[in-house]
Amino acid sequence: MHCAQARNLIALLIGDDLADTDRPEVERHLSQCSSCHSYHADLVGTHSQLQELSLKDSGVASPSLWPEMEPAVRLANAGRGGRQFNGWVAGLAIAATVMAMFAIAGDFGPVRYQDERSDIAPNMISWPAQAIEKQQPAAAKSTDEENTRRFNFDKLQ
Amino acid sequence: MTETRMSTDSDELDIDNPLDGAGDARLVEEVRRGNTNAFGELVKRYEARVIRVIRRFINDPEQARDLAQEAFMRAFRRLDQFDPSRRFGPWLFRISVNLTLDFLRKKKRSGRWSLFSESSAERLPDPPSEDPRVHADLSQEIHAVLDQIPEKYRTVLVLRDLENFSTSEIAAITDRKEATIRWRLAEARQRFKEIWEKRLAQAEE
Repeated sequence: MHCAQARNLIALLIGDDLADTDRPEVERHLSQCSSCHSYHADLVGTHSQLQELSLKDSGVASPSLWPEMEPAVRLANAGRGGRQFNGWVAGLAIAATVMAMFAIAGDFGPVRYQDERSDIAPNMISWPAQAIEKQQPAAAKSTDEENTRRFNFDKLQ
Repeated sequence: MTETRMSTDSDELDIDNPLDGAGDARLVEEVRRGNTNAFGELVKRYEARVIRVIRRFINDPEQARDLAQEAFMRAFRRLDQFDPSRRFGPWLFRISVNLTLDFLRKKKRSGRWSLFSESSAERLPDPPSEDPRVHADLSQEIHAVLDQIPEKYRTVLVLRDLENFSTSEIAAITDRKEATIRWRLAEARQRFKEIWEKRLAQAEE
């Protein structure tokens, strides 16, 4: 084992963080290398400073956070419930809008014959009377123009 | 290897206070059902440790309390994202540590704050004290050394050597592999030793 490799493992050994499989090899190296032996002693010294601080500051007493936090948590909890409620409201609003659209489309959209002809031609569809009335003048005008064009063409020929 | 228990997972219930002895998983489930008292129980269970961990990074008690409160509130808001098959403790400490480190980064960027204490802005440019080993305030000296260690090593060193979290717990808190944590820990201890000895040598000159 090289010293550089050993020193990395020594840094773990001092805090009892070394894997059991690595320990024998590191300990063997330490027993043979005076430089690493000294390095180990120095690391133990600095590590003990951290441990001393860890013990010194371990008992920080302060009043509980909960009384201060409780109103905010309750408010956030209510908000959480409110969001769920708003989700229902939004869902219902979308559903209502979709239903309204279908209802409006039903008034102006294609409708099936309701008379006896529907038995003869069940797939035949027709527009409502109002829509036909609106479309008729345009259709008539278009037919007149077509006839005029055809007439002029015939005359040219 | 030293293992430190972070949470109590007992499912035995106290008759007077049914939440008192409940395990973390049970309390989390209760909170998700809308029981805020269960969250209060989690706060009481973890607050001392959360504040202490934050104070390892920020030596201002009031600021540490504020950050701890913010960490708990963030945990409460994100509880829907918590995987109940995992332990609550490391998840909470991850939120707390990340919040603290973010706070320090922002303060450092804005130049209005120095790590570990408000007074450290005055302290850091000062030459090292005569002998850090006999310094009246060991905490200040250690924090001055820690301050010179890059964040990723310092975090691991603080959590392991000052807070006694196990390397597997630190892996869970920092969301890194345990092997990475061990490598960083070894590096952090060696860097701490180097800087500590350098300060000592400067003081002796």
